[in-house]
This record gives sequence, C-alpha cells and structure tokens, in this order.
Amino acid sequence: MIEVQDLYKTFEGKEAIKNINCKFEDGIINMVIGSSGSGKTVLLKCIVGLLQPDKGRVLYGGQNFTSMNYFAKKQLRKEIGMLFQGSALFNSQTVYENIAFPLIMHSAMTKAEISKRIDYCLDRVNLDRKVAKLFPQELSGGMQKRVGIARAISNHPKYLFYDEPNSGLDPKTSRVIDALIKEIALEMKTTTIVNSHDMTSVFDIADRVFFIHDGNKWWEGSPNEIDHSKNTELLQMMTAAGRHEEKF
Amino acid sequence: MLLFYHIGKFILLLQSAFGKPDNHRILLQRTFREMNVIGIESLGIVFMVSLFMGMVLTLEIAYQLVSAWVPDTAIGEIVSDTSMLELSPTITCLVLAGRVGSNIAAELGNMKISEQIDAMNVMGINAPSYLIMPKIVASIIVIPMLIIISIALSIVGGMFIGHLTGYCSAFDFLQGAQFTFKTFTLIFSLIKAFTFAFIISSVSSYQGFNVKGGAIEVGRASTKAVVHSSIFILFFDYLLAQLLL
Repeated sequence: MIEVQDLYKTFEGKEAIKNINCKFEDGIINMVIGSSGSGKTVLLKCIVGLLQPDKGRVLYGGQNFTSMNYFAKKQLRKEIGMLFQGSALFNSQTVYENIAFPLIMHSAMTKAEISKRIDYCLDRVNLDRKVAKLFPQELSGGMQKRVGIARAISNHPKYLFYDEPNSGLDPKTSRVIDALIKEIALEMKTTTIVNSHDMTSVFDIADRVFFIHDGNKWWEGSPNEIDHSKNTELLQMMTAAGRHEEKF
Repeated sequence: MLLFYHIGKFILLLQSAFGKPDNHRILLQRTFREMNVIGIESLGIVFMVSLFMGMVLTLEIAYQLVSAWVPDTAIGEIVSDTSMLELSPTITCLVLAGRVGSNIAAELGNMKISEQIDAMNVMGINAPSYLIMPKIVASIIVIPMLIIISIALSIVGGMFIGHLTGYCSAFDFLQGAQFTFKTFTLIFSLIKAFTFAFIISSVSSYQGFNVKGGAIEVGRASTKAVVHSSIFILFFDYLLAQLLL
C-alpha cells in the first residue's frame, strides 16, 4: 500500500498541491483524476520521488520514502515501474534494449533469461516479437505506450504508475491500453496508480477514484459513487466528458 | 549569486556523475561508444582544421620572416612550436566545443525534455553516472589523442606548403622543427588537451542536463554549451600559460 500524508509542494510561491492525504490500496486500480493543471502530475512525481515535497510524507508499505537516504530509495525504486505521458522510451535504443534496460542494470540475469523475459513482456502487451528490433521512433503512439508498459513490468514491480496513459491516443487505442492496465494490475497484484483526465477510463478500469482540483484532494470514492457526489467541480468534469447530465 | 548557484549545481552534478556506477560493464561499453562518437567521428574535422592551420601558419610566417638574414629552418621552428603550444590544442578544442559540445548538450537536453532522464531516476538508476561519466572519461582519453594527431598534421601541412611554394625545403622545415623541440612543450600541450577535454564534456553535459522546457530550450542549451565551453577554454588557456610557462 502507498500512503500519502499531508503532502505540500510549492513552485515559486504557488502551491501546486496542498494537504493531500490518500491511501492507495494494493491489487486495485487507484485513479487520480483532475483537469489539466490540477496538480495530479505533481502529486505523482512527489510519490515516485522525482520531486521532493515541501511538507508531508509518502509511505511505501509503511516505509517513509520521503526521508529515505539515496541508497534506500534506490533499492525501493527497483520495485517501481512507470509509464510516462510521452512513453519516455530511450530513442537511441531498440525496443529490445529498452525493455532489457532495467534488467541489465539491476538484475544478474543471463542473456538467455533476459531474452525470455522480454519475449514474455512483449507477449503480455500484445506486441509482435519482431517489434523488438525496431527503434521507438519507428512505432505508432499506441505501440510506444505498450513498449513503455512492457519496460515498466519487466523487472517484476510491486508498484506501477501510469501518467496519462491515454494522452495522444485515439479512443479505440485508449480502450486497448485501459484493458491492458486492468489485466496487468489483476495478474501482477501490484499497487497501481493511474493519472488521467479521461472519464471513460475512470468508469472502465478504476476501482478507487481520487479527484484533485486546484491542488487539493476534493473527493474520493468508487466510480459508482461519482454520480451521487455533491462535488460541483467533479460533476462539471463528468458533464464535459458526456458522462453526466447537468443538474446544477 | 547566480554564478555561485551554477557552480554549486555543477559540482553536485559532477559528484553524482562520478558516484558509484550501477553496472561497471555497461559503463565500459558506453565509454567505448562515446570514444567512437567523440574521437573517431571528429577525425575528419580535426584533419581539415589542422592541415589548413599548418599551411596558413607557414605562409604567414614566410610572409613576415623570409629574408637573406633569417635561416631557412626558422619557419619549421615557429610552425611546430606554435602548433604544439597554442594552435593545435586551443583551435582544435574550440572546434570540438562546437562539434562535440553541442552534440552532448542536445542529446542530454532532448532526453531531459522527453522524460527519459526521469524514467532512469524512477528505475533507481544514477542518470548522471550512466550518461555523463562515460562522456567525460571518453573525452579525456580521446581529445588528447586528437590533439597529437592535430599537431602532426599541422606540421605536415606546413611542411607541404613550404616546400610547394618554395619558401623552405621539407628537409629545412623538419630540421627546424626538430631543432627547437622540447618534451615539455608537448607535455604542456597535453595538459591543455586534458583540461579542455574536461571543460567541453562537463560544461556541455551540465547545460544539457539542466534543460527545462521544450525544443527551443534544447537549442539554447546547445548554444550555451558551445559559448560557455569556448570562454572557459580561452580562460584556462591563459591561466595554464601563466602558471606553467
């Protein structure tokens, strides 16, 4: 379980997130939603340690990640997999090298074992094994996302993060990626956090929803409870996505 | 204050870059790859610059010095000494700052804005060590080699044009070059080469690694890498001459 306690982050005097408290349960899909600029990416970056929060702490299975030293953080990060908004694939490396990267850097696996693991990861994300020889720039956006997911799961992570997994994708491919996220979360029993503003994804795959607005956590609950929430901002977001009739 | 901020940040980046590597075998592989990119791929431009530098230097010295009172070996003496002391290390490194420095800054800058460096950090990989250390180590190894090649080519170019134009024979030119040769001159040249190699790779890496924004900022970082490296090269050129000669 990942727990966020009283998290604050400020940029040049402007509070990007303030007093965020969340518990992200294991084995389910926790979805952080909010409009652009609401602070959800800042929250995710604070959770994975790409940003140091000004106040508050992040606990991974009860361990305080925020105050850990460099080596302890490094150890914990070996259990983290993340899909970035733009996939963040290494464009000077082939798909094979991209997926093998965490394995080569962190494990003592042989070349044959790495190859086997890469084949498994490519199969898992429904990509042809021939893709392994290609460079990321030779792939479509959807395929790049799948390679990003394959790289994220290659090292058997305990924690999986997805930052806007559907951004830049057509609706059909978005649903394919959503289905993949759901399958992997169920199969690997990881603690999964997905950042999104796609309301279709929320209803398709989320088990628990955290609504962030203006740097604050405004609402938390299951997708079924959203319609009954009294939160105007959340209902407006639903209306804009065509998932809710305007009643206010 | 801003200067101290950048100096501090630069030192911290170097400290991370020279921290314990995650995988020694990969580091070695990457260093060889960088040696190819920085060294072998720069051979062409170093060849051209050095050859023409020696040729022009010979013609200009001949224009000023050739008379019945000056021995024919003088051109060779001056061309070889000037090439070793100043022109080959400084001019070649200024050219390399343009070629190698901008390449390093653009590569790292692009990785930064496309979140590739963040991806490494999330995986628990020391990104400065993985990306920057091989570039600095490779530069320190191959740039002095390029400088030695540059000195040789500059002398060859000078000798060739001196002989072709009839200002001095190849024999006189070489005799002059050998007559004034001091081992310390070559050592001084190599000290400069090591210093400039470190400046080019580290300053450019710093610029690339700290890009914020988009493609325009990557372009700016490349320009800054070249400008700052060139300024530091010229400053240390003066400092080393003042301290060691």
